[in-house]
Amino acid sequence: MLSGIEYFLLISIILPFFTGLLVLVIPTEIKFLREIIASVTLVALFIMAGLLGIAPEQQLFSGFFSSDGLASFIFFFILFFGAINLIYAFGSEAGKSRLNEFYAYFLWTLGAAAGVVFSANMIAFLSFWGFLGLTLYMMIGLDGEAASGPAKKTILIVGGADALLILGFALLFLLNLPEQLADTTQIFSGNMGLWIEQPVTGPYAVLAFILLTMAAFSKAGAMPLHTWVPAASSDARPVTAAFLPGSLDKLLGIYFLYRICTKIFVMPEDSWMVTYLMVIGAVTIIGAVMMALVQHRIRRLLGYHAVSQVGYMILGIATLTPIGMAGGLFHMLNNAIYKSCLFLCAGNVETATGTDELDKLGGLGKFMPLTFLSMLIASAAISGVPPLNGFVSKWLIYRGLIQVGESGGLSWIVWLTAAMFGSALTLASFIKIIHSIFWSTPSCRIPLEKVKEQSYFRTIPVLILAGICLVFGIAYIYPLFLYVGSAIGELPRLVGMELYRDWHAGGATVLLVIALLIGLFVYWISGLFSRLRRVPTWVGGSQHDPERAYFPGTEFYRTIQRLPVISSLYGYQSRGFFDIYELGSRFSVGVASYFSNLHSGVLSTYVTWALVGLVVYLFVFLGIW
Amino acid sequence: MSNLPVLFVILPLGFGFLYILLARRRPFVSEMGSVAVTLTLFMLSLILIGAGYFDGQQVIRSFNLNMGGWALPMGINIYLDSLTVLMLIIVNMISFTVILYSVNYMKKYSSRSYFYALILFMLAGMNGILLTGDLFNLYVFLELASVSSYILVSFGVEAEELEAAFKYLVMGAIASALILLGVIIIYLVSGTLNIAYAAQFIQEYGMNRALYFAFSLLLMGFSLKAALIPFHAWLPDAHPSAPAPISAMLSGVVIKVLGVYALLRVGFNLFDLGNDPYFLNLLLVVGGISLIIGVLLALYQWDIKRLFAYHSISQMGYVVMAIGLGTGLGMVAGLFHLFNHAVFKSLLFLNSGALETATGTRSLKKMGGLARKMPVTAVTSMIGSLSISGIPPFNGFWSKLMIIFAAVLAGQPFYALLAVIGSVLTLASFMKVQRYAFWDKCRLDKKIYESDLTAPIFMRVSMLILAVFCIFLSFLILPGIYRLILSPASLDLLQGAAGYIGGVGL
Repeated sequence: MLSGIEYFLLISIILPFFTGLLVLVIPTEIKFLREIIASVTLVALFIMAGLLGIAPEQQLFSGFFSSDGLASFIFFFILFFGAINLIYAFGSEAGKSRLNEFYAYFLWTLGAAAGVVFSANMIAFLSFWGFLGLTLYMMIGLDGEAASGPAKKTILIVGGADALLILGFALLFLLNLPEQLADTTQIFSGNMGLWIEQPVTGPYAVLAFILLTMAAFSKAGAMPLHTWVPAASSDARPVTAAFLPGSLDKLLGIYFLYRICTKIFVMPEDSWMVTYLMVIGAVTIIGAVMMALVQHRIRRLLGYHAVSQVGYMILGIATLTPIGMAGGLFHMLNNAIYKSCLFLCAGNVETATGTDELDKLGGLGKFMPLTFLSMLIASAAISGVPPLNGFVSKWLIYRGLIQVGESGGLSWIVWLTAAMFGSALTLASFIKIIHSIFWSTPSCRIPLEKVKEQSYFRTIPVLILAGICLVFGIAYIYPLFLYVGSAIGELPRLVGMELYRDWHAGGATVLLVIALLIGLFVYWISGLFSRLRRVPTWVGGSQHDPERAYFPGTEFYRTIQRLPVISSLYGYQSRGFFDIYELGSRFSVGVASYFSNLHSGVLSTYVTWALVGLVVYLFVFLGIW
Repeated sequence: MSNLPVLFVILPLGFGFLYILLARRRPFVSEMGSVAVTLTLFMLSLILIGAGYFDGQQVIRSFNLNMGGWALPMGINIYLDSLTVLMLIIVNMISFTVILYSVNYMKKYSSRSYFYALILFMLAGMNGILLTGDLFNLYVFLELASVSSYILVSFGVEAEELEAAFKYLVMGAIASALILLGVIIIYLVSGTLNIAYAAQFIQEYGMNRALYFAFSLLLMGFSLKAALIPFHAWLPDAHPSAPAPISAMLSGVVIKVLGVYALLRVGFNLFDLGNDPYFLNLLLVVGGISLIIGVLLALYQWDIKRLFAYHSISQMGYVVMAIGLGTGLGMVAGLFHLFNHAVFKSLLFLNSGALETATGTRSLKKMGGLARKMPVTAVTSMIGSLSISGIPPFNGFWSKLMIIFAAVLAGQPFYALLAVIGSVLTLASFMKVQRYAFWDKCRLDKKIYESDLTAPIFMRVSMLILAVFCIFLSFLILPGIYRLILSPASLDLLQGAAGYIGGVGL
């Protein structure tokens, strides 16, 4: 007999699958029914999440699943981002083709995500995790031609990492083999528990650890398995980019990484594996942000930032200190908030102007004020500008890194520098975005008279997200202590640290607002006394062509590409040297062409191979005794 | 147990001759007759699941039937255990869907009655191989199935098909000759052709050099029929050239029955080499090589059927490698994967037939954007591709998962790694198929693209049946069903010669 909480979990997983099937078969002529079904499902899931959240920590379905604070916390926020994106989709997807598939994959994603966060068994985890890769692929591929390449890349990287994950789990299982494994059926029963706290010692354990983290990295989009994120972000629908690479896959990937480092494995603090994680984190931050700097398409740029931010989360978790881990998880949440906001804003801009090329945009600030405001706040948040949420979580991660330094060693300086430097570059890159889209001279390449703010379905979600950036920044105590702290069971130690002593968000915000007001006042005063006259630009005796006088925000950043050492790195990058997908496909096609050329179609050759095979068989069996 | 199993051979053989004698000019009769026969046999094979008794761990099945009442060393017996039942289900299920598909697909060919007669002969041959307890009888059925398949490959009588069939014929004939030689040597040494008696002889007197020689010959012959590398070279020519339903039969079941099943019967039940490190390591190595090189070769192909054909090599590599692990789990994983592969590879070949019929080409470079025009083909092909690539929740995921786990638990992490790499490359190659055939922009002639491309009804139905099985076969690992089908079949191999001899009742 199932207990009540087992029913709640079962409903969370099964219900979206059935409603997903339902929306798939509803005739396209019936309007609004799909939207209603999706919304009702989501509401039901919220109720289930609430019920699962208040239940005590326990095992479910004889150990296949378990519920605890962190799982409920992650599930709740997955549903939250699902709701935000669903509202946005009502506005953005209306009238688009293959809508039934969109909602079906959306719902299936939610169900499988529930399965992932609550599973405590290797097989259950693997099947839901792999299924998420599938829905990700299908959702990206919804746009047919344009997205077929990125979709393929995505499933190859994510699916390939899943295959590695199977191997990792197999090794892990081997290390914890039950005494008696008489019946092979036992492999698929409850004794393949995941929370085994395996020490990372010995070659198999280290290998398993690396394979597991690779799966987490591929989902979250850390280097070197990151390349699907920018590709999918720029070519899928904006709402898909915001929902999957923007929020859900980050939550799940980092959730899994956190579990790997705490409940699946236990790591000694001076282990090489910590260094490995730190290196991945630092390289991800810097490498991805450098790539973001030189992008010219909005969502591609955001995609690289989606990668870069993962580096912070990895650094935070790799500190293995409560404050750093709390920072990493909080950053995961914050990143999902501002990154979905940015992707959705980018979607608004794209729909309004018909392009996502930064060079063609400009001066949209007064046409799309709500989108502008949201994007400004989210950009500041991702750049770590106080008093927004991004600042708080980065601050925690920095503190965690410094704490690592207190126990000796010098490498922490490198990680800390990378993190701070990355933050500065992020700011630079977002100044470029904001400038190019909203501030610079209006470009004459887009029909400005047609540009207008999008419908409320598309502005309210971004405003909500931007508002949360602000709230979580100023009142960070509540989300941090109430959710993150209690979810990871570190609440007492975090409170004991009295984190709020060294960052008074409230006071700082007041001072910042005062400073801004003074600035505005000065601007206003100076406008009163100065005499301005606007005249056309004249160059060489003739009036300057406005087309040529246009100065896009992207131009300045080209200088970065021309810096001595960095230019060659960018050169390698553009030739695919840092893309594991490109490298892999080139290598395997090269090997394949060799074998393929051997198949000449000549029968005598083929017969010879077979006879050589026979000789080998004879040698093996006749030479053995 | 009645004489029921005999029907598996008699029905297709009898109907095949009837078509040639009576219905040469009435293809409709042979179509409907074949559908009826294969559906009956499929149902019969499902009924066989109910046979046997439950011993607390799993179901035990072993039925011996002496043909014509002749006592054993003299007569020929039919022996049916759980492995046979499993294989009979696979063969007759695929045959049924393939023949259903042919009803529409073969419309463009002439002399269709011969086609149905030949395909039923092939089926009779395979069922015979599965059921017989006699080595020479096995050889005869093997030749029956092989010769039918040579003719069926050349059924289109175009240059390409004839060339492929000729290569297949030559290579197949070499294999058959070696198998016959092997059978003769066994007869020479043991004085019997009955598998159980020969096994008993080997148990009593042990292996000697002549028997090892015979075994090597048989192993080579069956490896060639199973298209393991380096004996594979006929397959990528023969399988694509045949009509699509025949490709589905060849890749789906023929290589499994003529190759893998016969190899396992001989290796494990006759020669009792289930614990022989040389034999197992050979299977591991040959399987591993086939797995990796097969999938690499597939990556390079743009001809959709040739691509699928190379994957058959690679997937047979998985099966053989898993069985070569020698553990119970490996055995189950291998047999499970064999079942799964029969379903999804047949499905994929049927898809390719639908694509070829609609577009007139097999080149991926000339297709594109077909998802909208051929929804059933697109969806079923997606399901088949995801299954073979090992993506949950489809059947291929579970068997690959079991293979990887089995390899690691057997202390062979290297082979587990090969399985993982093979899985990633398989995924790459099938995502290429999806992308270029169904998703990308259309590169077809506009006139063709705008015409009605949907596949006819029976083709759609049979593709849907197989796609549904791609999902439902996952349930084979649920403990209750697992003990009914997979676990007993693996046990038949694990128990080696002793189990077989006991089953026949010596």
